[in-house]
Amino acid sequence: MNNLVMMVSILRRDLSESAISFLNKRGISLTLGRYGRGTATSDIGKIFVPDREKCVLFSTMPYGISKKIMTDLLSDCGHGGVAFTIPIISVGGISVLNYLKGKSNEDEVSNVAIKFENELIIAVANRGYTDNVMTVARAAGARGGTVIHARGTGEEEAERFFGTTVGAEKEMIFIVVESKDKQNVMNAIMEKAGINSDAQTFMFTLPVIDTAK
Amino acid sequence: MKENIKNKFKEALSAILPISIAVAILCFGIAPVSIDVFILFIVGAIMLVAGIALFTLGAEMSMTVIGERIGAYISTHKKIFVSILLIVIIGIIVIMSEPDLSVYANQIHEIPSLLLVLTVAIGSGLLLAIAFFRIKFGMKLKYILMILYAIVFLLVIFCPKEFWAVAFDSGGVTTGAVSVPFIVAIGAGAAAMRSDKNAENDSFGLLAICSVGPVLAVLILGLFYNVTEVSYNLDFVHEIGSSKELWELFSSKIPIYMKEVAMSLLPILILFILFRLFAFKVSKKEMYKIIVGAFYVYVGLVLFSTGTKVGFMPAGSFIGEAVASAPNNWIIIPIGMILGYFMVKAEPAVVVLVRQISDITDGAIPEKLMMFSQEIGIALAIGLSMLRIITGVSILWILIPCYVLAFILSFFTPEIFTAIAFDSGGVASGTMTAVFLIPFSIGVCNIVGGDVLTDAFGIVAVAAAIPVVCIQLVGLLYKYKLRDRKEIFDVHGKEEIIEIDWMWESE
Repeated sequence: MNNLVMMVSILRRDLSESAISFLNKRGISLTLGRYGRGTATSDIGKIFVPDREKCVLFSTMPYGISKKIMTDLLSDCGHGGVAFTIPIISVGGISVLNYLKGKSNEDEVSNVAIKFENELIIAVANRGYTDNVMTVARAAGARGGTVIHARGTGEEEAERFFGTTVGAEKEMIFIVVESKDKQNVMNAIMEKAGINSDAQTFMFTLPVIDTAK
Repeated sequence: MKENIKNKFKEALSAILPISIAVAILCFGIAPVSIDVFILFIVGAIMLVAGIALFTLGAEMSMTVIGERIGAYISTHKKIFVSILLIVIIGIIVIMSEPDLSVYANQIHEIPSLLLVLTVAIGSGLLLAIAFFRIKFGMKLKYILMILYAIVFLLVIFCPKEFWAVAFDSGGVTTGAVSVPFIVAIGAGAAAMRSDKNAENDSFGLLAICSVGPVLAVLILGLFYNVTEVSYNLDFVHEIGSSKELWELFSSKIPIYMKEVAMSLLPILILFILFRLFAFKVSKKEMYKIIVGAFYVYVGLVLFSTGTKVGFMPAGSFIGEAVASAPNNWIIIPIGMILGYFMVKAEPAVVVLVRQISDITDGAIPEKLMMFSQEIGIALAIGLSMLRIITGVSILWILIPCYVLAFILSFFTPEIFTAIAFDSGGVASGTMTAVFLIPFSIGVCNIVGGDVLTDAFGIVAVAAAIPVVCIQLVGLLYKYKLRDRKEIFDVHGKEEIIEIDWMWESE
């Protein structure tokens, strides 16, 4: 069966190594990691402690085993982590497909129709404005978000400096919302921290098949 | 929320506990010290746990953020001349802020302390600019370092012997708890703005070039400044009669360090406020967080300075004397190595650097690996230094082969490890070295009969040189390990894009 998903798991940073070795043991061949930080829930408390440090892992696997892997991963090295899966629509070549599937010997659940009740909002904001975005998003019903630091390579912003290309500093905010709450959250961000504000947030969503906590 | 703070304290405890236990075992066994010294040491160790926890907590919230923002700003400034000027000024301010430097300068009577601090700061500032320029011309770090170290050893020949130790020590003390997170963050911030393949490699190397600055500057000072003898003084012997006196001893020292640390953090905060006013925007909440973070750093550093200087210094010296008076004085070699091994973890600058390395490489160079190579490096360095005190060989017999080896290795090691190795060199020798290992070796010297000035103080220079070799060796191993881990694709002829059919449940 060729139905592949990308699992995104957001875990405590100090658990990243054990999570990677867990996934390796279960036959997942590709896991890419990146450090990020969580956005704290309380606004007052926030300035007294640094943001929670997270690792964001991206791994690919057949859809049929993804639910089991996801719940097992979280019960093993969860500790407040979350995970969700995004459908993969196409792959560049059969050998890559075989590679991305991994060598898992779990039983695959037979092919069932999928639907998405959740969506992943990817909001790209100017560096330093995550707080503005999250405050607005939370008020509109989002539960939490994870931030990855990124640099923009948009054509207008790419400038030559010291003989090298420089880009603008951006923050990528991952927010998983139920599809029914999406409108509220997105509208709120667009209105109060959107492209006309200092945060200049732009966003889009991806379908999420399953989520686990 | 609380988990975060708890973790920091746990980490700090696991950093301080090993060295404390090692020292306690020594005190109960072969190196008896007076109960006063032992109590001071225990109280100092407790202060250190709180100090390191608060410092690392705050450094991430403030210093790292400020450094990254400034680095990013400077590297995108359109006028190169302005960027270079800014970087020199920032370098001078940051280095002058380093608390270890002023303490160190005060210990040397023959050179006015302001002159020494200024020499060192200007040296570092100018070299920081060179480190920045290197990126423009795309020059390889190793060639720049080779040229710089060649100049250093050339100057060593002409410079009076008395200046050697001061020169190399200055290189070690400038890269401490305040300057390391800041300078590394500037590098990371600058590299984060670039999108070419060398960006990550170039995140590192600023510290490496920067810490040669003081060595060069002091050696040049030595050529012109006529001093027949350079001497140090350490006054740390405290006798405590009662618990009340113990309290008075600490409470009399705390205000001194409160002022000292405030003086060193203030310029950095002012720098940030100026940038905030004229250069970039920061959201209100981020601003508050930086202020709170700076406060943690402040309290953390005050506790750390008091704990080390009141608690650890006397212990180091007495243990050194006690161990060296043992019938077999070769025993100082393994003991020195063990103390060095455990001490690295307790060095706040190392803790922060190792963390930043893991951050910048997104975990590709894990904290554990870096810490381990630092520990091995310092253990070897202290072992060699002790051997040197017993045998009295010249420090150049260790330094020159070491740097030659380091440069030979740099042709085989992945570039990023070479940069990290030279960055780490000066960092491992920070406050803990100054307050524990130097007194320890002075103690040993007093008994064995070595020359305190050249033998005991050279420990900083050796501690800076050996890790450069060790970390590069780790890099080599890492490279060979990675080579085995190529992904295996089972390719059959020309491949085509595969579309995956999903059955979507109709709404």
